[in-house]
Amino acid sequence: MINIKNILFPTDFSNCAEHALKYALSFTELCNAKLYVLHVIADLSIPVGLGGSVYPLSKIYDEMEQNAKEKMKHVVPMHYIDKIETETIIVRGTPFLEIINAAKKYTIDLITIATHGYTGLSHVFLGSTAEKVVRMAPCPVLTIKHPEHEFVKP
Amino acid sequence: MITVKKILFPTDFSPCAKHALTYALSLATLFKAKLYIIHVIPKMNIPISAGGVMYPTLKIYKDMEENAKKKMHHLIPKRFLDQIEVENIIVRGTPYVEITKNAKKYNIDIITIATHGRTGISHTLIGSVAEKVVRKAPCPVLTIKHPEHEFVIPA
Repeated sequence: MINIKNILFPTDFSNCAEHALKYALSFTELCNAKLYVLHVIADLSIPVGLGGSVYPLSKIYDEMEQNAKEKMKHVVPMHYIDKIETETIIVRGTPFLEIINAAKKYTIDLITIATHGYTGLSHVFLGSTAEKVVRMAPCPVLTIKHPEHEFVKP
Repeated sequence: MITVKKILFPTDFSPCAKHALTYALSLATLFKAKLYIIHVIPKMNIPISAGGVMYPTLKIYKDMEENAKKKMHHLIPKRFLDQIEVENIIVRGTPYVEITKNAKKYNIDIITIATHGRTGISHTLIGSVAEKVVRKAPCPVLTIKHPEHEFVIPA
């Protein structure tokens, strides 16, 4: 019998992530596990000369972080908060790398991830972040498609 | 709360698939789901002149099927057979196509698949069958790596 104690749920607050969250919550409850909710603030590539002096980058990051903190509060529905243990993590970096780093750091047993986030185009079959996570994660990965993204064989 | 009533476990009887089976069995027990085990016998490209007359491909397929049936029989540990409902499926075709096709046919809720089967080269990061299944499956897919295949981020 396998033992799932720590589950990682990466989110970009998109609809797809919200759909995947249902699976993360169900698995967490059923396995009596702890749920780590991770949001990665993607590194911005703005040339220093463009926005550096007028609107400092660090201020943009701070705002994104504040924004993410607010959203994080509402990710896990109220009726689950009493039932399961959760921890929220907000980091800066490249999403797939940070997801894998977190999986190692918190000795994650299972990652539940949506196949399409914000950067995913609806016409490609698998989001780039999910694909990289599946390939490189140190643990099993549950990929969840949004019901609208079903593959139809030509 | 999601419901998982049917789990599909594709196997090529490799050690990696065996490792993934522990997850499939645990999930089936946890969700009280029915476990569908599928083995796909890949289509062979044997020219008729090469093996057709001496040893008909039909017979090769029959042998493979017999072989698969025997292996299927011993796949599930006895103690699980009392706890969960299991159905064996043996089909011929292209593995990823048959896996996704049967996922639809049986209204599968989750596919649990090993990332490396027999055709997977240990130095590639994910097996080609698993990758295609993740992309094309109509349902969530749980990919399970063999513990030996861990990815190390280059420094």
